[in-house]
Amino acid sequence: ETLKFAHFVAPTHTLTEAIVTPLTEAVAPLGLAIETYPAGKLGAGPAEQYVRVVQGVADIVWGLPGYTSSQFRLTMLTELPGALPAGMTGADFLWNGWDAGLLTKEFPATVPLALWTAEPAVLILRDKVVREPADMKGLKIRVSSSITAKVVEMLDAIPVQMPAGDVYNALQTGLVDGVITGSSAISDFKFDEVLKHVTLGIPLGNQSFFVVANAKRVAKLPEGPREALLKAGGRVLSRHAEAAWHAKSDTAIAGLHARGPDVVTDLTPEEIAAFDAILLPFTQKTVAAMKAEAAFKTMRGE
Amino acid sequence: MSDIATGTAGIAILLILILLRVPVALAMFVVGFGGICVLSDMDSAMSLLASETFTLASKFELVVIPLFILMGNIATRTGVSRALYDAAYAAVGRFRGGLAMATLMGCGAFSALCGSSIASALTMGKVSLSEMERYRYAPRLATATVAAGGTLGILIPPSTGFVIYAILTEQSIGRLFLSGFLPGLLLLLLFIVTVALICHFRRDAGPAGVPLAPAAARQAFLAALPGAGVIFITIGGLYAGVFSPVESAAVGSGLMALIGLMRREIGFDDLWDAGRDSAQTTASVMMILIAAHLMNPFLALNHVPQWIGDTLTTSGLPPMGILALIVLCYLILGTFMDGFAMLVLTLPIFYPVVIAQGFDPIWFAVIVMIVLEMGLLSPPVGMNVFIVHSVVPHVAQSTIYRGIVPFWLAMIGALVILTAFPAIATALPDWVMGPQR
Amino acid sequence: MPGAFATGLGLVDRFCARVSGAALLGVAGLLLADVVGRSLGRPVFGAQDMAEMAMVVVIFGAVPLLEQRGGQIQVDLLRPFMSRRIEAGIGRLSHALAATLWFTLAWTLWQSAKLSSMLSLSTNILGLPKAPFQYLLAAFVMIAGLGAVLRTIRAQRAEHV
Ligand code: NA
Ligand code: NA
Repeated sequence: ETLKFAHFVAPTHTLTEAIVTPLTEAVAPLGLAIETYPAGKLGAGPAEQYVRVVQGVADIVWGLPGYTSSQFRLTMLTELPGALPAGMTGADFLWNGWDAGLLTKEFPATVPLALWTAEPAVLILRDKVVREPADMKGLKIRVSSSITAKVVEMLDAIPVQMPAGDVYNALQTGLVDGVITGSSAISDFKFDEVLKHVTLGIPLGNQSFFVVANAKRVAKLPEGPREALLKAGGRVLSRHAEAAWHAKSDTAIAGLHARGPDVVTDLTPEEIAAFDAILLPFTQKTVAAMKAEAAFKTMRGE
Repeated sequence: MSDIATGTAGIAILLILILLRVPVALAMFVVGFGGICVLSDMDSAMSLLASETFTLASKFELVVIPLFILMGNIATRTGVSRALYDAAYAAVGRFRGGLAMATLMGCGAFSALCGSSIASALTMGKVSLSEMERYRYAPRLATATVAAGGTLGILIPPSTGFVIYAILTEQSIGRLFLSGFLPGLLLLLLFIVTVALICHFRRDAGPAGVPLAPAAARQAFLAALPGAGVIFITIGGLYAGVFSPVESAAVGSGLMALIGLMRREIGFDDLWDAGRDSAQTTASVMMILIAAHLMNPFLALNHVPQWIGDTLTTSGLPPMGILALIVLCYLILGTFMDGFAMLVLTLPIFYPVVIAQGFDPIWFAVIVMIVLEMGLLSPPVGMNVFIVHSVVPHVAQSTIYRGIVPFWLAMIGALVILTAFPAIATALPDWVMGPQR
Repeated sequence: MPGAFATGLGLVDRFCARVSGAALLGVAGLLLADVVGRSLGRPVFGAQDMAEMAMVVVIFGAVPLLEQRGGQIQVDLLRPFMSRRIEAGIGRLSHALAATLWFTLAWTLWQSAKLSSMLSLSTNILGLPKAPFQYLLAAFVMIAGLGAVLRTIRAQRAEHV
């Protein structure tokens, strides 16, 4: 038996060591092969990945809920400022939700093999230094989701939408003043060539990810391989993936520190509190507007 | 049947259908869809047909294509493109073959406005072919000049070719645009030399024009100023961070329309028609692009491209040998494939091979663009030849192809020069944006 | 009766082409407004989302007229070597293939649209639902398919006269 694993990034991306390799190696001894189709070879772009696995083009896909956020209401909660309690992984936050049956509706016709988040999003700047909310006023900041767009507006900055591939150029030419993204994306998009400063510590949420398999295809597998696949997936694999993301992020930050003392702005707890005062109420309000207070508490393990 | 055999059969059927005059996009849709049915199943094929169509049709990066075509269409209607052409004629019209040279320079200038070779050839063809006929230029020289000059559209920035290269290889669009500038001028120069040589050896091919009086010449240059201004703003704003490449096309279209409306050269009905005509051209080009994307999963499932890539990497050839083979592959594919389709289908295979050999990705983009330009001019599928043929249907396609031979040789010359001096491509982007790490 | 049908379809084709052209001008205007607005600190919120969905109309609104005019790009090289009969036969085959393609595409887009509304798929920033645009796209290619059927029948008749 062979399963087709489709994703849209290069084979050298963190995803390979985080998910593809451990998953492939876990099921191989039971005669279940996983063949990978990277770089959108089974269909371009991140937005349609979930549709492709549901329709059986691929058996397993990697996807970002952020690209089709209306499908993933609760999964997207990780993007809200301060959603994850200190010390809790995004993987645990999401699996808490899954285990409580809160997320079932958001993943129809599939079986999640991994749910996790990227490292906390940071603020990348081409020019200015940002230490306090007032520094953000009037800055044009590239965002990729409606939640981040609202966060940027809360800080009196201007959210700008553009394709990921154009951001490098936009930072270079000054079309935007900054971009909000996970620090692990700095090397993916070569932002290190065009950034002057990075501010760490603003509560900007964490991007979430999923790896799901087609439920019918999984049900049709012989019992041995099926059990192996389901056992390989889950909380442990998700934590492993999240750790890989964090490791890449740490490398990127270390590289920036090595460039000079004034590149990375690590906010002090007092400075963070100033941002918290503006952004945490926004999170409360959003959760309340979604009528998701109970679910939010469960996922936070409260 | 093995996967490789299925893949090979699919490519053969595609070729046969194209040569039998089945529309190019339709042939790709049919082979891609059928191939996925065979290698995977009907449900996958159906799903991919829908998702690839919708994904590409709604891809923001591709908005540049219709917008640049729109800009060209408005430029034609306002007479801005003709004014640019007249200014070039004022400069070189009195020399033997001068009108053809002016056409080439007009093509170069228009290419700085428009990202598409098809639109460039179409626009300059409409402006210049009638003029050259009036001055008794040989049809073979006149048509080939327009077809060849039009290809500069994807080399001189802005360029939809570079945009697609950037999307596929995750390179910076700005860097790629800058890299095409000097090679574009080089190729333009080589084309002009080619025309001079043709007219030197065949005296009746391009008779000399009447020199313009200084006042008339000044008039022509003045008339070209608005067009030159739009070029300056569109490209300048791109590098000053006022707008993105997609937006620059919208700004250019808007300025062009504003000039035309203010000078009463066009009315709102012209604008309305320009929108419709641009959408028609866009649709015929986009159909091929979408169909080519349906061929992609088919090629991934049949492993043929991987096999070609592996064969090249393990061939033990020196880097230059591998590069030569890849260029040869492109030239062969370019004879029958559309440039965009070829880029989408082959770049994911050849690009990693080329980079692994230590070649510069930006420099390679320029090489690929020139090879694509050659494909636009080579039979059986020479897109620019079709375009020129549609402007002057009384000139046979075979006549145009024969006229193109010397221009093709000039392009091979450009490839050799660029390989000997890669800095022609990389120096400008490195200087403006800093060296790439 | 087929004459009236053809005339009606021709009108619909031209109408779709006008809609598509208008959508293109709209996209240009929208992006222009976004550029100007951004320089004043007030960009058009979700301009990219709107442009993406409008592009579906630009490209596929143009397809019915393109199909009617036979505007798809073709290769003419072997034409001198083809007999008129072979050429006509291939022409008919092309129209029939095109009709099949457009109807298949319309059907599978319809299915995708249903899936999109089940998953409530929408654009990133504005949350514009995808399904209506997929239905619209399906409608455009359906019209193109009808045109292709008409051309198949016409080619058949021309053969028999
Ligand atoms: Na150009
Ligand atoms: Na060709």
